Amino acid sequence: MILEEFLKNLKRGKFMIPYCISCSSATWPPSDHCYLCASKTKLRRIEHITGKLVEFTASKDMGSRRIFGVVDIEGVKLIGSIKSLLPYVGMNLNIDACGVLSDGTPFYEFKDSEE
Amino acid sequence: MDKVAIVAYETSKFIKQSDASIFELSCQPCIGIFKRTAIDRSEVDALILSSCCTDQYGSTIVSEMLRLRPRISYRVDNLCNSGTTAITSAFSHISAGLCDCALVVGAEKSNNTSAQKLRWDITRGCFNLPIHWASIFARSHMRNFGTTEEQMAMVSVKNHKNSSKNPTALFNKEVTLQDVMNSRMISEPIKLLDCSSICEGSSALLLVSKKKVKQFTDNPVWIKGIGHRTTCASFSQVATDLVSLQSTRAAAEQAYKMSQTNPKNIDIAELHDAFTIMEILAYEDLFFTQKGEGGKFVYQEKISVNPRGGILGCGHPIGATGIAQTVEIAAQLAGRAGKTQVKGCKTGLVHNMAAAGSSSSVIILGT
Repeated sequence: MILEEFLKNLKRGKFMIPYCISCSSATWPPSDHCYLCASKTKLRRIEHITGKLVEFTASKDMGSRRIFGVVDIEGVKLIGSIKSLLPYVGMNLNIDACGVLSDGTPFYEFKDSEE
Repeated sequence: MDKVAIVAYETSKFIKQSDASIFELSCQPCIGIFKRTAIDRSEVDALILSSCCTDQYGSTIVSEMLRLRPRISYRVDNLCNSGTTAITSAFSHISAGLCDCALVVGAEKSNNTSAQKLRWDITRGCFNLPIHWASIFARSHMRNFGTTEEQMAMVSVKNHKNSSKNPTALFNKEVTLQDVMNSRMISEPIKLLDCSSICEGSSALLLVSKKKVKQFTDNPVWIKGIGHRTTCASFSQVATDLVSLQSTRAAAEQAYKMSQTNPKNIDIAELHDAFTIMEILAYEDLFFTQKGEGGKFVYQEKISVNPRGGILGCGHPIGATGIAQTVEIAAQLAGRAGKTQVKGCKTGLVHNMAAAGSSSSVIILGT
């Protein structure tokens, strides 16, 4: 099952996106079948692909101030922490870290692609 | 298609929590309706329960507890958009001739945390609370249109003022602009008093076919138009447009078309103000004003918006919210809204939605 495989890799710090083996579109959130053509999907590791910051703000809900935002990686939009003191919309970002917390919640962290 | 009227309604007092079970909570407003209408319970041929509770067989248990034997009985779960979805289900059964008299009840316990996070959506990572997506919408609206934190705060001031007159609301105390602006920052720019509170509550409506109306009232409120749209479930898809509620726009267009009316004819509305920014977005996406002008629209007085106090003032018992919104508009149009009554309203609108606006409903009522 693609979702289980995705989470297994995420736990090891590997971020992967399922792509359709037929039409090549990204299938997000992960699924065994392509949302467009219903063909099978296969995970592909995303390591050095640069995403763009779509929007960002900062949360204090966990005590300290955390900058977070929506990042677009090849059409897949994720919410994650932004490790930059001066983020801006359109900024190029790479995945710096990702994983799964002890309660099963996934997390994604992004950093400036220039760093 | 047979016409459908709302002939009776009741909302229980919204509270933080109680020992009542979800089933007892569901029965409370229904018993109120039975007392008011003296309806023969054998006439109720549908009971639809709107709730995100996971208790099995809820609608059927509630039916037994009310001594009903309906033809149709089931539970609807569509997250925060459950209530109006349940009303549309009842409307459809009646207009199709499958039943004549449907009781629609919404109920939620505040300890039902399953409705507060959409766990399937791993898009949201560890920023998976509703306030996170709401603050993203707020930042985007501010960046693109210059909407201010004060304009958002005024939504809370207005709605708490309205809820101070509503005996069923969770909050009966007015707040000032300073109160909202000085309240604790949670996720910028959203502060504590920009947020609604999850609470416990129930609300019910009795819907009947045209041939049954006279038995209950000479002053029915008719369901004139309904619009629904589900665009997606994940925030990844919602995030293709962070300054609009695309599902609301589509639902509104459908509801205006069905009711053969337009936004200029709306006198009164209950909008889904789970956060202050969501009411501002709703002004625009229900076409009350132009895109980008929602922040300024909070000061207008032509349309009475959220006369019961909205979700900000009344609290948010998730499965009951859409029902309670519709109860308020029906009561307003019937001239029976008590202390919250707005004079002279003839056409009203209900806007209910779920999960960052991934699905929306719009219902238009008229006399």
